[in-house]
Amino acid sequence: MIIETKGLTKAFGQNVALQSVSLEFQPGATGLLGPNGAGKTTLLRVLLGLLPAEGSATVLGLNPMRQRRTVRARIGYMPESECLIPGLNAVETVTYMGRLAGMSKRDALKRAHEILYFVRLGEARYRDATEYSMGMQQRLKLATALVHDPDLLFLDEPTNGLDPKGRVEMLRVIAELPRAPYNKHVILSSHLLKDVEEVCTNVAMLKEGRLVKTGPIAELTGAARGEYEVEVAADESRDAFVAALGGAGAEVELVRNRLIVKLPAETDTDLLFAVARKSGARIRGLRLLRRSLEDVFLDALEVNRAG
Amino acid sequence: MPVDRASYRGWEGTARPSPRSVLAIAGTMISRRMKLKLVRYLTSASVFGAIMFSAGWFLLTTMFDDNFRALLSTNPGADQLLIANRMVFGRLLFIALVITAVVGAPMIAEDRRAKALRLYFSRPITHLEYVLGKFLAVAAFAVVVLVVPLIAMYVLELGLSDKDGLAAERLPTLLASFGPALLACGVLTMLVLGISSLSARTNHASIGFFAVFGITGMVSQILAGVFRNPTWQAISPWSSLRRVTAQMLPMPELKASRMFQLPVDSTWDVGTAWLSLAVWTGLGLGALFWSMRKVEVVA
Repeated sequence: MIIETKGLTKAFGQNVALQSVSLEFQPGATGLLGPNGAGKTTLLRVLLGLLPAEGSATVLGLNPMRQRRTVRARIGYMPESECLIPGLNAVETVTYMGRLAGMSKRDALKRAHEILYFVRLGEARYRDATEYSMGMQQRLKLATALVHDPDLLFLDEPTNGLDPKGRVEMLRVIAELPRAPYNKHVILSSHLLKDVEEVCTNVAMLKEGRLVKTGPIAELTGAARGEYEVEVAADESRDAFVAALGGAGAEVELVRNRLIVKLPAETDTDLLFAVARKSGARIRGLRLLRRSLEDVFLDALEVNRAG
Repeated sequence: MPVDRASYRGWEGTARPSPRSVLAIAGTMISRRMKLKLVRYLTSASVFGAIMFSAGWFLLTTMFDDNFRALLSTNPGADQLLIANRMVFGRLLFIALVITAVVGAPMIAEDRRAKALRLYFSRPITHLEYVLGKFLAVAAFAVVVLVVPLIAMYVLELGLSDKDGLAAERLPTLLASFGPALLACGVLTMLVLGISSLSARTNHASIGFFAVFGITGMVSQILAGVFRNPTWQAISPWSSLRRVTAQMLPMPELKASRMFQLPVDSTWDVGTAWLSLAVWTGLGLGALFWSMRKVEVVA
């Protein structure tokens, strides 16, 4: 596990930004989802050691409250807002940020060129960064987060303000990061569910400073739960098929002439075909049942509201 | 498309907090400010102006030896370099005031305006390192304006003279001039950074810096006139700075034609001037600490 928090609470005066948040982030890419004002940015800033908070947290095995400098050296942070240093071009900005992370000037400069090509700013790297389009500025911010080759990246609303093309480009770059040879752990904070769904394998959902749902996306959306929609001819063989599936440990429900089948753990569609063969049923259609992340998110908010 | 994965090298080192970040901040800020024409002109003007002036001065005093002897007799204990330093220092102090405003006023204000502080403090640096880096950057320009001309004048005199042992003879004069120069660098830098940290607009910070000097200068002169007490001048950091630096120079007063000197009122207590400088520097430092403390709670 790369991040663990227990009872993390942060208030700004009367406004409670985080309310006893306890979560665990696994290696890889994790989405931090929530509407605006849910406490996503505050959580990232607490984990960076920028804000003191009640409760406990460990980031890469370190305590961000006590070892804040060591933690920051191992994290790359891409803030949500515009924050580029005026008067510097992209190479200077990235080199500067590398040096502030403790790199030598030579290493930082060499790495700045490599990372600017990685985020597709190679051709524009000597232009004043304040003249960049929004998409280029976002990619430059990503480059400053990557320059010191951190183990963990905090990306706060990286697609904010981008046009569709810019968004696709940014997500394509981010999606590369958890893979070899980069091998970065990514925490992607966003209120855009599609962004998280495209890039992340895990998700944590926040609402009004509370954690409302967390887990692997595949599990939450049903992709990993082994639920299938099966279409078979509506005759005697279907009844035999349903009975045989029940005998094999599957849960079966008939919904609008279609069977919703939840297979037992550690089995796959081979079981469906084997049972169909035995019972003489002909499978006409088979579809993995999964809910969208949006459905999961809305359900989580609804449950939270009811609770 | 992203770069070819096979060509990706990464970085083999380990990022860790390092005091080198202070030098990184100072170095980057210096190179950034040097892009401004006004800064280049002012630093060149002070260094080359002092060199040209002293070259003329050394040549003239050598050529018109009688005049120089007369000047020495009215300024007992003085030497050629000392008199030259004394003539130039007041003018350099004024250029230092202007250059610290030009270089220093945007130093923190600009970061606040661009919200770059978030970027800075997401790195393993402390507030102290950030402030120290900015301090060194501004102070470097003040040092170039105040100290480099003094060194240039020393070297020039050695170059123009064929007198044996002159280097050792003039060295104490040179070193004694560093004290007031470095004091002025420190006070001006701290004050401009303090004012810069209070605003998110460079213009406001510049105006605020000059307003501190201008308004306190006027008020102090009016009060000194009304109460017939020159000690009221201590309200002004500029008057106090000139009073203290003049006192610290090896020859506090230069008896020469007005053309060659910037008059400093030395009738008031230098201790009060020191106190005034300490208060103004403390105010600058206090403003810096206050605004830096607020950085962490910016949501």
